Amino acid sequence: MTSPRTQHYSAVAMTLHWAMAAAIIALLAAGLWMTDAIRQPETKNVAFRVYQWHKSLGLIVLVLTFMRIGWRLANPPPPLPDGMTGFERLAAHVTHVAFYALMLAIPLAGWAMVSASPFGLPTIVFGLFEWPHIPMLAGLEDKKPYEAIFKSAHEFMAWGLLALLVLHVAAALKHHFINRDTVLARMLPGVRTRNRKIG
Amino acid sequence: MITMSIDTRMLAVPGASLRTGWWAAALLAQQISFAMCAAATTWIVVPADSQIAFSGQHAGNTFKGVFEKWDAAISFDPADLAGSKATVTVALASAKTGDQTYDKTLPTADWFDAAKGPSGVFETSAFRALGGDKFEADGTLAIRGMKAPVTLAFEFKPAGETAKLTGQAKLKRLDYGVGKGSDGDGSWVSLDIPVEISVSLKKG
Ligand code: HEM
Repeated sequence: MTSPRTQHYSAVAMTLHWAMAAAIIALLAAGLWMTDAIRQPETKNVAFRVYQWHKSLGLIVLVLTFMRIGWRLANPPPPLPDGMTGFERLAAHVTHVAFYALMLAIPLAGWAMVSASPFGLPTIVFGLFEWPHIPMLAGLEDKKPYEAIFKSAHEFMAWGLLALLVLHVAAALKHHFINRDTVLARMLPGVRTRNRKIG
Repeated sequence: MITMSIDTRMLAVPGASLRTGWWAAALLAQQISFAMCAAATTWIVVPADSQIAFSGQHAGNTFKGVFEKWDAAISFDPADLAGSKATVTVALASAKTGDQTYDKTLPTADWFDAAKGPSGVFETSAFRALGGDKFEADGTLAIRGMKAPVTLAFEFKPAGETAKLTGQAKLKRLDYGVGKGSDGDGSWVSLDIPVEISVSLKKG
């Protein structure tokens, strides 16, 4: 029997996973709320603050994504349960790669959008330090069309991420409650994988 | 007043014909007004106890700020408004609201464009007494190479060698093209920007 230790993700991987999960859910919720709220006079002022907060958290997710990809390349995750079909393995693999791609592309598009904004508001990460604009975009003469492109891309990919998230959660729950394997448990800190099927 | 005595001496220039006498009188009137310009008390700003503050709304939030660097040349005498004059020069890049998001935006090209025109200049053209300590100054404010008339309502409270001047003016940012490209209709940043000044002066 494989020891529960090697069946688990590393503490770093778990921390990154759950911290980023919380951040991304907050970012999706904030993003969807604020884009409407900024147009209502009653919520405009709160929405403006949420925008600044959204930019800050989104950039932190960008940085964490780079760290996470680095960590993952150096520390391969525990193998998938033996019972999974080839299609299931492929689906899991594609979903996870897509997650990493979107976790890079969405904040990059957000950063590009903000850099190409004619309004030119700086991004002060949680009010602490300035995150620079992308100089190539900030220096453009006519930024509006670029801002629009990155805005659409950001929104489109965010919906994609939301869809992926639903799929991801559904799959994790299926592994746990239907397949009764270790897939969810091994990402949960403190949960023992011993009593579950390894393969 | 000293100036008066100087001018009366000039009046005493003798030997003029009646005709040239008129010219002399006209010239004299001019001399008096010139002399009076110089006559109104010169005041020096005490920076530690003086401020030029502005405020407005952005996205429903009120912001308040000050200009950290500015200077003023003031000669003012409540008894000699015609001879009074003030020129205020403000370093636009020194606008500070306490919110970095604003402070970093304000000097940029679409707002103050401080790189091209570092100062805003207010220059008075006329003063009016409104009774008591209250006055109004008409003048012109120039920012980003655009000029517009501004009226500054103020109170002037002299106390010996010092004086306190407090006042307010209503500016319209679009008069100077401030934020015209980013927000030309005030949907984000209010078009009206009230300015309040509180200045401690000492006789120069
Ligand atoms: C993983 C990171 C991020 C996620 C999941 C995310 C998600 C979202 C979502 C769901 C929206 C609403 C889209 C819409 O309905 O229009 C949104 C809007 C926005 N996001 Fe992000 N975002 C992220 C990172 C960033 C970053 C890093 C920035 C900027 C530095 C940013 C700036 C914006 C802005 C400015 C909007 C408003 C766009 C508009 O006004 O239409 N986001 N984001």
